[in-house]
Amino acid sequence: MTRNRLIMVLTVAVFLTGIVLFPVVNGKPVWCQEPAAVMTLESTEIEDEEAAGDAVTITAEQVEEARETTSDRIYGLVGLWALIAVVIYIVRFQVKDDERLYRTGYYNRDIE
Amino acid sequence: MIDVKKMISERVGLGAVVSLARKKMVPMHRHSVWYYMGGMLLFLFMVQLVTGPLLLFFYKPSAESAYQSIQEIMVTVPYGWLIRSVHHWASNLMIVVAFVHFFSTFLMKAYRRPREVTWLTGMALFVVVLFLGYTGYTLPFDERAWFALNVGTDMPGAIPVVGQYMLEFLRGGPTVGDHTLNRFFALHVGILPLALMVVLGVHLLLVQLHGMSVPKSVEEESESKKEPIPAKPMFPHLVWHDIINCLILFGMLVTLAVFMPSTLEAPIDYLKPAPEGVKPDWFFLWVYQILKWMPTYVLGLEGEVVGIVGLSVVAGFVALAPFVDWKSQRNQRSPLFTVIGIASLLVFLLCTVIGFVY
Repeated sequence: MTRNRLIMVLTVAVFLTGIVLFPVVNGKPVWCQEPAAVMTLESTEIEDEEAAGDAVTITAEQVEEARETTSDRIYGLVGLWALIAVVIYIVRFQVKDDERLYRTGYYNRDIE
Repeated sequence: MIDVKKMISERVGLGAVVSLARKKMVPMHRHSVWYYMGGMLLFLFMVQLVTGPLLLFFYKPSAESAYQSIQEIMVTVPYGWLIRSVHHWASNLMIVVAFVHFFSTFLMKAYRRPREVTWLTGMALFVVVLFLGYTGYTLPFDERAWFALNVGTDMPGAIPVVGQYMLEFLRGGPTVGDHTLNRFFALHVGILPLALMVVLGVHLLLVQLHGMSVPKSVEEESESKKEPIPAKPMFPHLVWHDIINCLILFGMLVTLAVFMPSTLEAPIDYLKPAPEGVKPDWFFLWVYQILKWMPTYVLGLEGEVVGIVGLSVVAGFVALAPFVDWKSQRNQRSPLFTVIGIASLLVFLLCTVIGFVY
Protein backbone atom coordinates (compact mmCIF):
# COMPACT_ATOMS: atom_id res chain seq x y z
CA MET A 1 0.00 0.00 0.00
CA THR A 2 2.86 2.35 0.84
CA ARG A 3 4.35 1.79 -2.60
CA ASN A 4 0.98 2.44 -4.26
CA ARG A 5 0.69 5.73 -2.43
CA LEU A 6 4.25 6.65 -3.35
CA ILE A 7 3.52 5.97 -7.02
CA MET A 8 0.31 8.00 -6.90
CA VAL A 9 2.08 10.94 -5.23
CA LEU A 10 4.99 10.77 -7.70
CA THR A 11 2.71 10.53 -10.75
CA VAL A 12 0.74 13.56 -9.62
CA ALA A 13 4.08 15.28 -8.93
CA VAL A 14 5.29 14.64 -12.48
CA PHE A 15 2.20 16.18 -14.05
CA LEU A 16 2.27 19.15 -11.69
CA THR A 17 6.00 19.58 -12.25
CA GLY A 18 5.44 19.55 -15.99
CA ILE A 19 3.15 22.52 -15.52
CA VAL A 20 5.30 24.51 -13.10
CA LEU A 21 8.80 23.42 -14.13
CA PHE A 22 9.23 26.02 -16.85
CA PRO A 23 8.46 29.03 -14.64
CA VAL A 24 10.77 27.65 -11.92
CA VAL A 25 13.83 26.86 -14.04
CA ASN A 26 13.89 30.29 -15.57
CA GLY A 27 15.03 31.68 -12.23
CA LYS A 28 13.96 35.24 -13.04
CA PRO A 29 10.65 37.11 -13.14
CA VAL A 30 9.22 36.35 -16.54
CA TRP A 31 5.61 37.30 -15.98
CA CYS A 32 4.43 38.80 -19.27
CA GLN A 33 8.01 38.90 -20.60
CA GLU A 34 8.10 35.51 -22.32
CA PRO A 35 10.33 35.80 -25.38
CA ALA A 36 8.96 34.72 -28.74
CA ALA A 37 8.90 31.00 -29.41
CA VAL A 38 11.79 29.74 -31.49
CA MET A 39 11.01 30.22 -35.15
CA THR A 40 13.08 29.06 -38.10
CA LEU A 41 13.39 31.56 -40.90
CA GLU A 42 14.18 30.33 -44.37
CA SER A 43 17.38 31.96 -45.71
CA THR A 44 15.45 33.00 -48.85
CA GLU A 45 12.91 34.75 -46.63
CA ILE A 46 15.67 36.83 -45.04
CA GLU A 47 17.24 37.56 -48.44
CA ASP A 48 13.86 38.69 -49.79
CA GLU A 49 13.35 40.99 -46.82
CA GLU A 50 16.85 42.41 -47.23
CA ALA A 51 16.22 43.04 -50.93
CA ALA A 52 12.98 44.83 -50.10
CA GLY A 53 14.73 46.85 -47.40
CA ASP A 54 12.45 45.37 -44.69
CA ALA A 55 15.02 43.18 -42.92
CA VAL A 56 14.64 43.38 -39.14
CA THR A 57 17.90 43.95 -37.26
CA ILE A 58 18.46 41.36 -34.55
CA THR A 59 20.51 42.77 -31.69
CA ALA A 60 23.22 40.88 -29.78
CA GLU A 61 21.07 41.19 -26.64
CA GLN A 62 18.16 39.45 -28.37
CA VAL A 63 20.47 36.66 -29.52
CA GLU A 64 21.81 36.24 -25.97
CA GLU A 65 18.27 36.24 -24.55
CA ALA A 66 17.18 33.60 -27.08
CA ARG A 67 20.20 31.43 -26.15
CA GLU A 68 19.35 31.68 -22.43
CA THR A 69 15.71 30.80 -23.09
CA THR A 70 16.71 27.79 -25.16
CA SER A 71 19.09 26.46 -22.51
CA ASP A 72 16.47 27.03 -19.76
CA ARG A 73 13.91 25.10 -21.75
CA ILE A 74 16.31 22.23 -22.41
CA TYR A 75 17.27 22.02 -18.70
CA GLY A 76 13.57 21.97 -17.86
CA LEU A 77 13.00 19.22 -20.35
CA VAL A 78 15.87 17.12 -18.98
CA GLY A 79 14.45 17.58 -15.45
CA LEU A 80 10.99 16.50 -16.57
CA TRP A 81 12.28 13.37 -18.33
CA ALA A 82 14.41 12.48 -15.28
CA LEU A 83 11.33 12.68 -13.06
CA ILE A 84 9.30 10.63 -15.55
CA ALA A 85 12.05 7.98 -15.58
CA VAL A 86 12.03 7.76 -11.77
CA VAL A 87 8.24 7.29 -11.64
CA ILE A 88 8.31 4.68 -14.42
CA TYR A 89 11.11 2.84 -12.57
CA ILE A 90 8.96 2.65 -9.42
CA VAL A 91 5.80 1.69 -11.33
CA ARG A 92 7.80 -1.12 -12.96
CA PHE A 93 8.32 -2.64 -9.47
CA GLN A 94 4.57 -2.80 -9.07
CA VAL A 95 4.16 -4.29 -12.56
CA LYS A 96 6.78 -6.96 -11.70
CA ASP A 97 4.87 -7.80 -8.50
CA ASP A 98 1.76 -8.13 -10.58
CA GLU A 99 3.56 -10.37 -13.09
CA ARG A 100 4.76 -12.60 -10.20
CA LEU A 101 1.18 -12.99 -8.96
CA TYR A 102 0.12 -13.76 -12.52
CA ARG A 103 2.77 -16.48 -12.94
CA THR A 104 1.81 -18.13 -9.66
CA GLY A 105 -1.70 -18.51 -11.06
CA TYR A 106 -3.33 -15.93 -8.81
CA TYR A 107 -5.17 -14.37 -11.78
CA ASN A 108 -5.59 -17.57 -13.79
CA ARG A 109 -9.35 -17.80 -14.04
CA ASP A 110 -12.03 -17.48 -16.71
CA ILE A 111 -12.87 -14.08 -18.16
CA GLU A 112 -16.05 -12.83 -16.53
CA MET B 1 -6.96 11.19 12.98
CA ILE B 2 -9.59 11.60 10.26
CA ASP B 3 -9.84 8.68 7.85
CA VAL B 4 -10.34 10.65 4.61
CA LYS B 5 -10.68 7.52 2.48
CA LYS B 6 -13.48 6.16 4.69
CA MET B 7 -15.15 9.55 4.82
CA ILE B 8 -15.23 9.86 0.99
CA SER B 9 -16.14 6.19 0.52
CA GLU B 10 -19.20 6.51 2.78
CA ARG B 11 -20.48 9.52 0.87
CA VAL B 12 -19.83 8.62 -2.76
CA GLY B 13 -19.80 4.81 -2.63
CA LEU B 14 -16.14 4.56 -3.65
CA GLY B 15 -15.93 1.00 -2.31
CA ALA B 16 -18.45 -0.25 -4.87
CA VAL B 17 -16.49 1.35 -7.73
CA VAL B 18 -13.16 -0.12 -6.55
CA SER B 19 -14.76 -3.53 -6.07
CA LEU B 20 -16.23 -3.38 -9.61
CA ALA B 21 -12.86 -2.34 -11.08
CA ARG B 22 -11.13 -5.26 -9.32
CA LYS B 23 -13.66 -7.74 -10.72
CA LYS B 24 -13.17 -6.45 -14.25
CA MET B 25 -10.78 -8.78 -16.10
CA VAL B 26 -8.63 -7.99 -19.14
CA PRO B 27 -7.75 -10.91 -21.46
CA MET B 28 -4.00 -11.37 -21.87
CA HIS B 29 -2.78 -12.61 -25.26
CA ARG B 30 -0.38 -11.64 -28.06
CA HIS B 31 -2.66 -8.80 -29.26
CA SER B 32 -3.29 -7.29 -25.80
CA VAL B 33 -0.98 -4.35 -26.56
CA TRP B 34 -3.74 -2.78 -28.71
CA TYR B 35 -5.95 -2.46 -25.62
CA TYR B 36 -3.77 0.44 -24.44
CA MET B 37 -4.80 2.71 -27.33
CA GLY B 38 -8.14 3.60 -25.70
CA GLY B 39 -6.42 4.75 -22.48
CA MET B 40 -3.92 6.82 -24.48
CA LEU B 41 -6.73 8.51 -26.40
CA LEU B 42 -8.51 9.31 -23.17
CA PHE B 43 -5.34 10.85 -21.71
CA LEU B 44 -4.74 13.01 -24.80
CA PHE B 45 -8.36 14.19 -24.64
CA MET B 46 -7.80 15.18 -20.99
CA VAL B 47 -4.74 17.21 -22.07
CA GLN B 48 -6.96 19.00 -24.62
CA LEU B 49 -9.58 19.66 -21.95
CA VAL B 50 -6.94 21.33 -19.76
CA THR B 51 -5.00 23.30 -22.42
CA GLY B 52 -8.05 24.32 -24.52
CA PRO B 53 -9.76 26.47 -21.84
CA LEU B 54 -6.37 28.06 -20.98
CA LEU B 55 -6.09 29.21 -24.61
CA LEU B 56 -9.69 30.45 -24.48
CA PHE B 57 -8.68 33.04 -21.87
CA PHE B 58 -6.68 34.86 -24.56
CA TYR B 59 -8.10 33.84 -27.93
CA LYS B 60 -10.46 36.31 -29.65
CA PRO B 61 -12.73 34.66 -32.26
CA SER B 62 -13.14 37.41 -34.83
CA ALA B 63 -11.62 37.97 -38.26
CA GLU B 64 -9.96 41.20 -37.07
CA SER B 65 -8.42 39.98 -33.84
CA ALA B 66 -7.97 36.17 -34.04
CA TYR B 67 -4.53 36.36 -35.68
CA GLN B 68 -3.32 39.05 -33.29
CA SER B 69 -4.56 37.13 -30.25
CA ILE B 70 -2.63 34.01 -31.33
CA GLN B 71 0.48 36.17 -31.77
CA GLU B 72 -0.10 37.47 -28.25
CA ILE B 73 -0.47 33.92 -26.91
CA MET B 74 2.80 32.89 -28.56
CA VAL B 75 4.82 35.99 -27.66
CA THR B 76 3.53 37.86 -24.62
CA VAL B 77 1.28 35.50 -22.63
CA PRO B 78 3.43 33.71 -20.02
CA TYR B 79 4.00 30.14 -21.26
CA GLY B 80 1.34 30.69 -23.89
CA TRP B 81 3.74 29.16 -26.47
CA LEU B 82 3.96 26.01 -24.32
CA ILE B 83 0.22 25.65 -23.76
CA ARG B 84 -0.61 26.27 -27.44
CA SER B 85 2.12 23.94 -28.67
CA VAL B 86 1.10 21.16 -26.26
CA HIS B 87 -2.53 21.63 -27.41
CA HIS B 88 -1.39 21.43 -31.05
CA TRP B 89 0.75 18.30 -30.56
CA ALA B 90 -1.83 16.57 -28.34
CA SER B 91 -4.42 17.00 -31.11
CA ASN B 92 -2.01 15.56 -33.70
CA LEU B 93 -1.06 12.62 -31.47
CA MET B 94 -4.75 12.10 -30.67
CA ILE B 95 -5.48 11.70 -34.39
CA VAL B 96 -2.50 9.33 -34.84
CA VAL B 97 -3.64 7.15 -31.90
CA ALA B 98 -7.27 7.31 -33.16
CA PHE B 99 -6.12 5.94 -36.55
CA VAL B 100 -4.13 3.15 -34.82
CA HIS B 101 -7.12 2.34 -32.56
CA PHE B 102 -9.46 2.28 -35.57
CA PHE B 103 -7.29 -0.02 -37.72
CA SER B 104 -6.42 -2.35 -34.80
CA THR B 105 -10.07 -2.83 -33.78
CA PHE B 106 -11.07 -3.33 -37.42
CA LEU B 107 -8.38 -5.96 -38.04
CA MET B 108 -9.15 -7.75 -34.74
CA LYS B 109 -12.87 -7.74 -35.78
CA ALA B 110 -13.73 -6.17 -32.44
CA TYR B 111 -17.08 -5.16 -33.96
CA ARG B 112 -18.43 -8.73 -33.73
CA ARG B 113 -21.67 -9.41 -31.87
CA PRO B 114 -22.53 -8.02 -29.28
CA ARG B 115 -20.21 -5.02 -29.87
CA GLU B 116 -21.90 -3.46 -32.93
CA VAL B 117 -23.02 -0.34 -31.04
CA THR B 118 -19.56 0.01 -29.43
CA TRP B 119 -18.10 0.05 -32.97
CA LEU B 120 -20.64 2.63 -34.19
CA THR B 121 -19.92 4.92 -31.23
CA GLY B 122 -16.18 4.47 -31.92
CA MET B 123 -16.67 5.50 -35.55
CA ALA B 124 -18.65 8.56 -34.44
CA LEU B 125 -15.81 9.46 -32.04
CA PHE B 126 -13.26 9.05 -34.82
CA VAL B 127 -15.17 11.46 -37.09
CA VAL B 128 -15.56 13.99 -34.24
CA VAL B 129 -11.80 13.81 -33.48
CA LEU B 130 -10.96 14.48 -37.16
CA PHE B 131 -13.31 17.47 -37.28
CA LEU B 132 -11.95 18.80 -34.00
CA GLY B 133 -8.52 18.71 -35.64
CA TYR B 134 -9.76 20.47 -38.76
CA THR B 135 -11.75 23.18 -36.95
CA GLY B 136 -8.81 23.86 -34.59
CA TYR B 137 -6.49 24.25 -37.60
CA THR B 138 -8.62 27.12 -38.93
CA LEU B 139 -8.88 29.18 -35.71
CA PRO B 140 -5.57 31.15 -36.02
CA PHE B 141 -7.18 32.69 -39.13
CA ASP B 142 -3.82 32.96 -40.89
CA GLU B 143 -3.08 32.32 -44.56
CA ARG B 144 -3.05 28.53 -44.06
CA ALA B 145 -6.40 28.64 -42.22
CA TRP B 146 -7.85 30.86 -44.95
CA PHE B 147 -7.10 28.35 -47.71
CA ALA B 148 -8.15 25.42 -45.49
CA LEU B 149 -11.50 27.13 -44.85
CA ASN B 150 -12.06 27.87 -48.53
CA VAL B 151 -11.10 24.41 -49.79
CA GLY B 152 -12.68 22.57 -46.84
CA THR B 153 -16.05 24.28 -47.13
CA ASP B 154 -15.97 23.94 -50.93
CA MET B 155 -15.85 20.14 -50.63
CA PRO B 156 -19.28 19.61 -49.03
CA GLY B 157 -20.53 22.17 -51.55
CA ALA B 158 -19.83 19.62 -54.30
CA ILE B 159 -22.24 17.07 -52.79
CA PRO B 160 -25.40 16.79 -54.93
CA VAL B 161 -28.73 18.19 -53.60
CA VAL B 162 -27.64 19.27 -50.08
CA GLY B 163 -24.18 20.62 -51.05
CA GLN B 164 -25.08 24.30 -51.48
CA TYR B 165 -27.05 24.34 -48.22
CA MET B 166 -24.11 22.73 -46.34
CA LEU B 167 -21.65 25.18 -47.86
CA GLU B 168 -23.68 28.21 -46.76
CA PHE B 169 -24.36 26.69 -43.36
CA LEU B 170 -20.62 26.15 -42.73
CA ARG B 171 -19.55 29.53 -44.11
CA GLY B 172 -22.38 31.51 -42.58
CA GLY B 173 -22.85 33.12 -46.00
CA PRO B 174 -21.67 32.73 -49.58
CA THR B 175 -18.00 33.49 -48.80
CA VAL B 176 -15.50 32.72 -46.03
CA GLY B 177 -15.27 35.51 -43.47
CA ASP B 178 -16.01 36.55 -39.91
CA HIS B 179 -19.19 34.40 -39.70
CA THR B 180 -17.23 31.35 -40.86
CA LEU B 181 -14.64 31.80 -38.12
CA ASN B 182 -17.40 32.21 -35.52
CA ARG B 183 -19.09 29.00 -36.67
CA PHE B 184 -15.85 27.04 -36.64
CA PHE B 185 -15.05 28.44 -33.20
CA ALA B 186 -18.48 27.37 -31.89
CA LEU B 187 -17.93 23.91 -33.39
CA HIS B 188 -14.42 23.58 -31.97
CA VAL B 189 -15.04 24.70 -28.39
CA GLY B 190 -18.71 23.87 -27.90
CA ILE B 191 -20.56 21.49 -30.17
CA LEU B 192 -17.81 18.99 -31.04
CA PRO B 193 -16.31 18.59 -27.51
CA LEU B 194 -19.83 18.20 -26.09
CA ALA B 195 -20.68 15.57 -28.72
CA LEU B 196 -17.36 13.84 -28.01
CA MET B 197 -18.04 13.70 -24.26
CA VAL B 198 -21.56 12.28 -24.70
CA VAL B 199 -20.52 9.63 -27.26
CA LEU B 200 -17.36 8.83 -25.28
CA GLY B 201 -19.49 8.22 -22.17
CA VAL B 202 -21.67 5.73 -24.08
CA HIS B 203 -18.58 4.12 -25.70
CA LEU B 204 -16.82 3.60 -22.34
CA LEU B 205 -20.00 2.29 -20.74
CA LEU B 206 -20.39 -0.26 -23.55
CA VAL B 207 -16.71 -1.28 -23.29
CA GLN B 208 -17.24 -1.91 -19.56
CA LEU B 209 -20.48 -3.76 -20.21
CA HIS B 210 -19.15 -6.14 -22.89
CA GLY B 211 -15.50 -6.28 -21.82
CA MET B 212 -12.51 -6.34 -24.16
CA SER B 213 -13.01 -8.13 -27.46
CA VAL B 214 -10.78 -11.16 -28.06
CA PRO B 215 -9.63 -11.95 -31.65
CA LYS B 216 -11.14 -15.08 -33.20
CA SER B 217 -7.71 -16.73 -33.62
CA VAL B 218 -7.02 -16.42 -29.86
CA GLU B 219 -10.48 -17.83 -29.05
CA GLU B 220 -9.85 -20.81 -31.35
CA GLU B 221 -6.43 -21.50 -29.83
CA SER B 222 -7.95 -21.45 -26.37
CA GLU B 223 -10.72 -23.83 -27.45
CA SER B 224 -8.28 -26.26 -29.09
CA LYS B 225 -6.08 -26.32 -25.97
CA LYS B 226 -9.21 -26.55 -23.80
CA GLU B 227 -7.77 -23.84 -21.58
CA PRO B 228 -9.42 -20.56 -20.63
CA ILE B 229 -7.89 -17.35 -22.03
CA PRO B 230 -5.56 -15.94 -19.34
CA ALA B 231 -6.81 -12.71 -17.81
CA LYS B 232 -5.60 -10.09 -15.36
CA PRO B 233 -7.68 -7.62 -13.35
CA MET B 234 -8.12 -4.25 -15.04
CA PHE B 235 -7.26 -2.61 -11.75
CA PRO B 236 -4.37 -2.51 -11.05
CA HIS B 237 -2.73 -4.34 -14.02
CA LEU B 238 -3.98 -2.24 -16.98
CA VAL B 239 -3.90 0.93 -14.88
CA TRP B 240 -0.13 0.57 -14.17
CA HIS B 241 0.59 0.22 -17.87
CA ASP B 242 -1.74 3.14 -18.65
CA ILE B 243 0.17 5.31 -16.17
CA ILE B 244 3.49 4.44 -17.86
CA ASN B 245 2.04 5.17 -21.33
CA CYS B 246 0.57 8.50 -20.17
CA LEU B 247 3.87 9.58 -18.59
CA ILE B 248 5.76 8.83 -21.82
CA LEU B 249 3.10 10.64 -23.87
CA PHE B 250 3.29 13.64 -21.55
CA GLY B 251 7.08 13.79 -21.91
CA MET B 252 6.72 13.51 -25.70
CA LEU B 253 4.18 16.35 -25.81
CA VAL B 254 6.41 18.73 -23.85
CA THR B 255 9.49 17.71 -25.91
CA LEU B 256 7.68 18.31 -29.20
CA ALA B 257 6.35 21.64 -27.88
CA VAL B 258 9.89 22.78 -26.98
CA PHE B 259 11.63 21.69 -30.18
CA MET B 260 8.79 22.23 -32.65
CA PRO B 261 6.48 24.91 -31.25
CA SER B 262 3.21 25.50 -33.04
CA THR B 263 3.70 28.00 -35.87
CA LEU B 264 1.66 30.85 -37.30
CA GLU B 265 1.61 31.62 -41.03
CA ALA B 266 1.40 35.06 -42.64
CA PRO B 267 -1.73 37.16 -42.04
CA ILE B 268 -4.53 36.77 -44.58
CA ASP B 269 -4.22 38.72 -47.81
CA TYR B 270 -7.78 38.68 -49.16
CA LEU B 271 -6.63 39.65 -52.66
CA LYS B 272 -3.98 36.95 -52.93
CA PRO B 273 -4.99 33.95 -55.06
CA ALA B 274 -4.60 30.43 -53.64
CA PRO B 275 -1.00 29.31 -54.26
CA GLU B 276 -0.30 26.23 -56.41
CA GLY B 277 -0.39 22.94 -54.51
CA VAL B 278 -2.03 24.22 -51.31
CA LYS B 279 -2.45 21.14 -49.08
CA PRO B 280 -4.70 20.23 -46.14
CA ASP B 281 -3.42 19.11 -42.72
CA TRP B 282 -1.70 15.69 -42.73
CA PHE B 283 -4.77 13.70 -41.60
CA PHE B 284 -6.75 14.73 -44.70
CA LEU B 285 -3.83 14.34 -47.12
CA TRP B 286 -5.06 10.90 -48.23
CA VAL B 287 -8.45 12.39 -49.21
CA TYR B 288 -6.67 15.26 -50.99
CA GLN B 289 -4.43 12.84 -52.92
CA ILE B 290 -7.33 10.58 -54.02
CA LEU B 291 -9.34 13.62 -55.21
CA LYS B 292 -6.24 14.92 -57.02
CA TRP B 293 -6.01 11.66 -58.98
CA MET B 294 -9.64 11.82 -60.06
CA PRO B 295 -10.12 12.77 -63.75
CA THR B 296 -12.06 15.98 -64.48
CA TYR B 297 -15.11 14.00 -65.60
CA VAL B 298 -16.19 10.42 -64.83
CA LEU B 299 -19.12 9.15 -66.94
CA GLY B 300 -20.23 12.73 -67.55
CA LEU B 301 -20.14 13.62 -63.85
CA GLU B 302 -17.64 15.96 -62.19
CA GLY B 303 -14.61 13.98 -61.00
CA GLU B 304 -14.52 15.73 -57.60
CA VAL B 305 -18.22 14.92 -56.97
CA VAL B 306 -17.63 11.26 -57.89
CA GLY B 307 -14.57 11.17 -55.60
CA ILE B 308 -16.41 12.66 -52.61
CA VAL B 309 -19.46 10.43 -53.09
CA GLY B 310 -17.17 7.37 -53.54
CA LEU B 311 -15.20 8.13 -50.36
CA SER B 312 -18.47 8.68 -48.45
CA VAL B 313 -19.73 5.28 -49.65
CA VAL B 314 -16.47 3.61 -48.51
CA ALA B 315 -16.71 5.38 -45.11
CA GLY B 316 -20.34 4.22 -44.79
CA PHE B 317 -19.31 0.65 -45.67
CA VAL B 318 -16.59 0.67 -42.98
CA ALA B 319 -18.99 2.14 -40.41
CA LEU B 320 -21.47 -0.63 -41.19
CA ALA B 321 -18.80 -3.38 -41.07
CA PRO B 322 -20.53 -5.24 -38.18
CA PHE B 323 -23.65 -5.61 -40.34
CA VAL B 324 -22.00 -6.50 -43.67
CA ASP B 325 -19.32 -8.86 -42.36
CA TRP B 326 -21.65 -11.88 -42.22
CA LYS B 327 -18.92 -14.35 -41.29
CA SER B 328 -17.83 -12.38 -38.24
CA GLN B 329 -21.46 -12.06 -37.21
CA ARG B 330 -21.69 -15.87 -37.27
CA ASN B 331 -18.52 -15.93 -35.16
CA GLN B 332 -16.45 -17.34 -38.04
CA ARG B 333 -13.14 -16.11 -39.44
CA SER B 334 -13.56 -13.50 -42.20
CA PRO B 335 -10.33 -13.24 -44.22
CA LEU B 336 -12.02 -10.96 -46.80
CA PHE B 337 -12.44 -8.21 -44.20
CA THR B 338 -8.85 -8.70 -43.03
CA VAL B 339 -7.74 -8.05 -46.65
CA ILE B 340 -10.06 -5.01 -46.83
CA GLY B 341 -8.56 -3.69 -43.58
CA ILE B 342 -4.94 -4.17 -44.70
CA ALA B 343 -5.68 -2.70 -48.16
CA SER B 344 -7.35 0.36 -46.55
CA LEU B 345 -4.37 0.82 -44.24
CA LEU B 346 -1.94 0.66 -47.19
CA VAL B 347 -4.05 3.09 -49.26
CA PHE B 348 -4.20 5.49 -46.31
CA LEU B 349 -0.44 5.35 -45.68
CA LEU B 350 0.61 5.52 -49.34
CA CYS B 351 -1.78 8.36 -50.24
CA THR B 352 -0.68 10.32 -47.15
CA VAL B 353 3.02 9.92 -48.04
CA ILE B 354 2.47 10.72 -51.75
CA GLY B 355 0.26 13.69 -50.83
CA PHE B 356 2.96 14.96 -48.48
CA VAL B 357 5.88 14.53 -50.90
CA TYR B 358 4.29 15.65 -54.19
